[in-house]
Amino acid sequence: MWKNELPSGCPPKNAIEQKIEVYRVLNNSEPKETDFQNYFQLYPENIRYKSLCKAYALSFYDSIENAISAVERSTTLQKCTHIGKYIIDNSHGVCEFKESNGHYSVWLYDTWNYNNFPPVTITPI
Amino acid sequence: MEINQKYSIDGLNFDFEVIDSLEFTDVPYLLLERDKIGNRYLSYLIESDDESEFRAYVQISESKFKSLVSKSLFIKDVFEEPENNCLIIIKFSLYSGMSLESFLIPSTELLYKFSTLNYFLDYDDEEVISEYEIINYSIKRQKLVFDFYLHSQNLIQSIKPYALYKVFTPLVEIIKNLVGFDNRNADEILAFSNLRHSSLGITIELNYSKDLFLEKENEAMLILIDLLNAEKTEDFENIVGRTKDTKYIKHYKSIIKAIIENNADLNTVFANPLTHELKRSSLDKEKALKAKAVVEESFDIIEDVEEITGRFLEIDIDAQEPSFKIIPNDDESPLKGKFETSLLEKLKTDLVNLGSEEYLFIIKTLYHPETIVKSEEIKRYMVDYKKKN
Repeated sequence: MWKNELPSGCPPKNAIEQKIEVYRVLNNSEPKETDFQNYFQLYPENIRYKSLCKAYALSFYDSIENAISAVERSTTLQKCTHIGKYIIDNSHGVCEFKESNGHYSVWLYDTWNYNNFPPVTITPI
Repeated sequence: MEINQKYSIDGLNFDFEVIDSLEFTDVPYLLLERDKIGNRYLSYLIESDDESEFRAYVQISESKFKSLVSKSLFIKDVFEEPENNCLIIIKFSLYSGMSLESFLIPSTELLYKFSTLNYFLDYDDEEVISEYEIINYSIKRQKLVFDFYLHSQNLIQSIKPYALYKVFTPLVEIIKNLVGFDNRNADEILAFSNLRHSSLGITIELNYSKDLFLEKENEAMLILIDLLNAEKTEDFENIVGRTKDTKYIKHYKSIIKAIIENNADLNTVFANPLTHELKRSSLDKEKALKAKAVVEESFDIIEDVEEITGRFLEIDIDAQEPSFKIIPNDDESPLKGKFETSLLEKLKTDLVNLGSEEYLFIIKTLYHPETIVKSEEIKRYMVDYKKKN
C-alpha cells in the first residue's frame, strides 16, 4: 500500500487523504525523481531513523511564503533555488498538516508515480 | 565543521536513541532523544553534507521540557542556556547512524548560535510516556502501573463517550475480574492518574495484595497484556487456560468492537515496580478484526427431542422463567431445565405430583458446542408431559 514498509503506528491517525495545492522546495529549476526521495530512501541503513515515522514522509508547504521561511531557517536547504507548486490528491497518499509552519508531511502510496506528478509552476527563490 | 579537539570525548558513548521528531521537514532538524540511562535531550541538526551530520545535544529536565511545550520558552533558549552548562556535539554517519566524533563543550564557550531556533515548539507531548517514566513512576508509587492510551482521529478534539464507556470501563472490568475484586473495595485497590485528553490516556495504579510481592495482580496484568496482544486462536487458548472463567471476554468484545468501529489504536504499557519488568500491548483495527473472528466463532446449535420417563423433583412456576428438575427412571442424575411457555397454563391447572408419580416427559435439548472462549452449554426445555398409568 505504501511506498516503503512503514514502522508500526505510521502514518499517524491524523494523516488523511486530501486534495490540496502544495509547494515543495527544489534544488533547481528542473526537478528530478531523486528530489522526491524521503529520508529513509536516502539513508536506508541509518539505524537512528529506521523507526521514525517522519523519515518516511515527504515535506510540502501550504504556501510559497512558508516554503521560503523554511529555507531561511534551515541548516540544509540553503542550496535550494526553486519552489515547485504541485497538486496532491486522494490517490497520492495521506497528509499531516502542522499549522504553525504550514508544513505537510506526506506519506505516499506505492501507486504514486513521479512521472504522473508534474509541477504546476516552478518559481525561483 | 571544525571543533577544537580539546573538547573531544570520543571515549564516551551516550547511545542516544531517537524518541520522537519535533521538527522533521525532509530532514530531522529537531529531535527528542534519550541516552542509555534515560535522560532526555533535544538534538538539533547544525550541519550536514551527503555523508554525515553534526547534531547539537542539550539535556533537558522534565520541567524545562514542559515550559518548552507550553510555549514559555523559545527553542533557542534551551540550547543557549543549558541546564547543565554544557552542550554535546556529535558527528554521525548518515549511512549507518553510528557516531563518528563527539565533543563536550562548556556553555561559556559555545561556538554556535541558535538564532534560527527563535520560535516556539509546536508539539503535543501528551502522547509520549517513556518506558523510563512508567517504570520510575511504578517504583515511586510501589504499585503496578498500567498506562492506557487510546488514539483515534475522532478523539483529537475531544473525548467521545465510547472511549470511556466502551474501552476504558470494560478494561477496568477485566482487571477487576482477573484480579478478583469488585466495586465495594475498588477505591482501595485502584487509582487513576496522569489523565491526558489529546486522545485518551490514563494511568491505572493497582495494589490488591497490600504486600511486597504483588504476585496475584502481576499475573492478572500479564494476562491482560496478552489478551490485548492476542489475535490468533492459540493466543486465546493460552489466555483461557490461565483464567478461572471467561467472564472478561464480554468486556473484551466491547473493546474490540469500539476499536473497529472507530478505527482506533489502543496502546498500553504495564510496569512492575519489583521486577522492573515492562510489557506492552498494541491493538489496532486490523488486529481487532482478527481477534473478533476468533472470539465470536460459533458453531451450529444441535437440537434433540427425546422422551424420558421419570418423576418431577422440583417445579418453580413463579420464576421469571419457570423451571423444573426431574429424575429419569434410568438415570441417577437429575435433569434441570425450563418449561416452554405453552405449558404454563397446563401446569397451573394440573395437580402435578412431585416425587411419587411417573410421567412421560418430552424434552427438547439445545446443545451449544464449545468455542475457544466459551465452554459447551446444554439448555433443556420441557415441551410436554403426560402422566403414566
